[in-house]
Amino acid sequence: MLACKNITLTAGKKRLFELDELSLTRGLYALVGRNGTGKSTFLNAILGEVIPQKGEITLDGRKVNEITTAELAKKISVVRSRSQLFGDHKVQDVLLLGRLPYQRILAKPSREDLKIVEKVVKDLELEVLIQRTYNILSDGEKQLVMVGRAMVQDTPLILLDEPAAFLDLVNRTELIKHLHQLSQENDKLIIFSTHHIEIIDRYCDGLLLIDQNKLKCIEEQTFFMNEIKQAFGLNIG
Amino acid sequence: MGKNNLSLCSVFIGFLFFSCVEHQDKLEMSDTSSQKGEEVAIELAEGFNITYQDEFTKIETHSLVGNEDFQDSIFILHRQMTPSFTKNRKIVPKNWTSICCQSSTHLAYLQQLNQTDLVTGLCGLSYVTKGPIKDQLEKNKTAEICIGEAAQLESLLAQNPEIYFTYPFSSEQNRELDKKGVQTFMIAEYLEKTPLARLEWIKLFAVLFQQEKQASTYFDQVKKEYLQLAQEDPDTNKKFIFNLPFGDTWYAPSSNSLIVQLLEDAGLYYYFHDEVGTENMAHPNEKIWEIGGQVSYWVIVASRPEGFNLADLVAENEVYGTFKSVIHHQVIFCNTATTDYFIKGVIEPHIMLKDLLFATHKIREHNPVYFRLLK
Amino acid sequence: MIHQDKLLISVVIIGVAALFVLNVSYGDVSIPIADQFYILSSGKAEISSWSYILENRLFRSITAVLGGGALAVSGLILQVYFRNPLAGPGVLGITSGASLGVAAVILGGFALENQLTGVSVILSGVIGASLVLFLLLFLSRFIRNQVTLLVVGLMIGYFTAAFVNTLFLWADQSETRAFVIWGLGSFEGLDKTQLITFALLVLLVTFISVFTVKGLNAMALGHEYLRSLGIRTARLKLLMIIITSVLAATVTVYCGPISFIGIAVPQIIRLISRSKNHAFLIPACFLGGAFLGISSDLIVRLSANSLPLNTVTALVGAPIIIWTIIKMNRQFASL
Repeated sequence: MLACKNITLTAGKKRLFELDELSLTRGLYALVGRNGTGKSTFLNAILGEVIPQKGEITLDGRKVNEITTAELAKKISVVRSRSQLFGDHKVQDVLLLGRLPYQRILAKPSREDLKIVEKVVKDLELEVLIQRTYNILSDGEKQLVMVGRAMVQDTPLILLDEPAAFLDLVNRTELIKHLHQLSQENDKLIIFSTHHIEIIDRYCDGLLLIDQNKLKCIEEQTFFMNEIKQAFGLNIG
Repeated sequence: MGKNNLSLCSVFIGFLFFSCVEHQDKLEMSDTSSQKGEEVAIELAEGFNITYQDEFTKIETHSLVGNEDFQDSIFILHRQMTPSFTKNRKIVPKNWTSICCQSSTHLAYLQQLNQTDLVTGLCGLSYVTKGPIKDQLEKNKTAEICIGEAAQLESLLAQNPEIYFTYPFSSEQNRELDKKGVQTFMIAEYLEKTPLARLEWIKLFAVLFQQEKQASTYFDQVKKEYLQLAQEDPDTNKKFIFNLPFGDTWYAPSSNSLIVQLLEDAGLYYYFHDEVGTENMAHPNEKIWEIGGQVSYWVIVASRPEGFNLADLVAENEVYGTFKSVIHHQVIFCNTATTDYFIKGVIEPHIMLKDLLFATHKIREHNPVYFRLLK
Repeated sequence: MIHQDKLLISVVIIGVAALFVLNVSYGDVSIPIADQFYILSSGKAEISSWSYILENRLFRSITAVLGGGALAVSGLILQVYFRNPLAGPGVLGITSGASLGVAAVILGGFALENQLTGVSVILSGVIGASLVLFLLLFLSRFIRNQVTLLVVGLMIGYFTAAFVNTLFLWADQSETRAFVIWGLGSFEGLDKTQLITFALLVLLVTFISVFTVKGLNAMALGHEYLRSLGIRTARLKLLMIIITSVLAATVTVYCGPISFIGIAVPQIIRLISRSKNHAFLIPACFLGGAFLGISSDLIVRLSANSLPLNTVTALVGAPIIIWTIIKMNRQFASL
């Protein structure tokens, strides 16, 4: 469903990386690379917010920047690294925001919207949080809620920009486990960028590694650590 | 302490010394004695007195009962006095070269005494209406010495006035100015209770400029004319309201204000005649709108374009069309943009009175100067 | 709608209606109720000034309701768009921008006092207000701190005041006077055509704000979520500029720079309403603003017009804002 061809990605005048060919349909993918190599830019390029200098990114065969915003919102949902809400929304309100692309001008939630929220709450075991105020949750809880919100949006593709950046080891593992589970059960493509390489080889179906201005896709789990260590110049052993 | 700090320090100390320079008082240095003038008698004014002694004449201004307390005095010396006398006393110089005024009203008296050529600084220069006074000020290259109503020390010092006539608002600031060599003198002619008493302040100015005779003659003549014209009692059938609203509020002058005195001397009866007090009274617009329907006269002093007429007035607010005074064409208007109401008006109460009598058809032949019936 | 929110809306509607009736029927001139009905139904009055007095009260009450509502809606949209609980047309300098436009027209001598509400003044007010918004949007790219944006807004306000004072130098006395009166703020003094223009502008633009409902809802998550939630960011920004600057400028031109309603009302409404949907929050803020507008006008009139409108709104609004700052500090300290 997501396909990239002959991409050259730049930030201002700086060349970030090139990507010859990439085609992903489902599974959990980790996007790894050192700071400034272009992880966020790549995610934004998939969203159509950044247009690559060369090449094209397509979703189901259509260029992303030619898909209308309204349609795109039904294909891609996003989770950012740290989301502070403006307003004292309850978790229920936050989850419902995921249904915004399906609502009409007055954003009135339909019965179906509420049903979907209910289902996600059950899947992610969010029942205890549902009536609590989002902004006073712990960072781990917040990220779980944001993943839930992305689930509620019900898109085949979910992008997460360093979702684990502010989480401790336990919460990090929990989150990735959830993502793995979601991608398996719901047949979704989930891409998340991260610096936490220790968690990826158990749960990820693939590694997108940015190294020496190239993005490589490695789908053999046993190679993950080697490739990363080589790229980062770390000693093996 | 580093070398740099030391040199900075010495510069700073240098400044301190500089700021301790003895300021010379030019008045103490020169002979200030002048001839004793003809004594004047004060008949109506209550805000000042003049005391004559062999050695000096003392002019004192002070608040009237019920006003905020203030007192000020200045001396005219008739012979050389000892420094112990002149110290801390305000002395009138022998020869005038420069005068500054805080109020344009002061100009009226100076003009009548032909002294406007001495005026080198004025507060609110831009508000002086076009005319002979404005021309004279332009000729003098008179400077603006205030921002708002507060005198700017440097501008004032630059004019180097022998006297600065002020309002009696801030004795604190006056003392400051006196210390810095600007001799101030408080003038409170507007606190007088009648237009004639206000006019009599011309005698105070006359003493300063030794023109007692002209002043007395002028005062007597105006007084005679005014009293001849003034009506015994205001006529309760000729009630009037005064002025225009400021935003939502209609500020009405108190019934013992000068303007109400003048209007009642013309036989009109102030609608708020019985509301006594020294301050303006604030009324909501709608109250005056209701009153306007019953009151025969409406007197307005305001700045409007030339040729302002009744229709223009009603255009400002339709409700004025329901005013009795508007319906009967009895709106008496003084345009401060085209007449010299604020300056010359002060010394011409008799002409104002005549205008009002003409407007209320008490006299037939007159060429109005300040007040006219709105057409 | 949730029960609590229904109750809130009903209370506010009843409050606005009651204050409206009170503001029309009560005054320093007492007009018998029977006469009031007679005047309002027939347009004729026993005492001719009464019909004007009543009309004046009616007009100023309508102006207060619409003006208060317009400011509150403008404030709500600004707070959510800039994600800043202390934003408002006054604080961000948008009102100042409108004032500058008005000042240029009045003091520049392009219009006379009685043309205060002509097309040229409205237009220049809107232009001034939207220029400030463009400036803020430009600066907000570089500003990460919420308070910085407010300081910029305040500086725009100071600059405007200084510029206006400079214009005073060339203005003649009656122009200066007209501007000073206007600056005190008042819902009074609109004539029929002015009121109609005012009402049409306010109602029309407030109506347009329904097109921002989804965008504003999404703004709770932040700008970086807009696109993935199906919101066209450029369109939302354009609507935000048009709505907030036209509403703020219209009120400013007709009633003077009125402070605090635009910041305090959305603040309270966002806090006490359970719903986070702007399809509810926008009308709720409009009603809340109407309530504060008409109650302020009533207080002004109870004081025999001696308390200027801005004094009254400040008395009510300033404590709310201080309370918000304390609350905001607590919230961000927990980050």
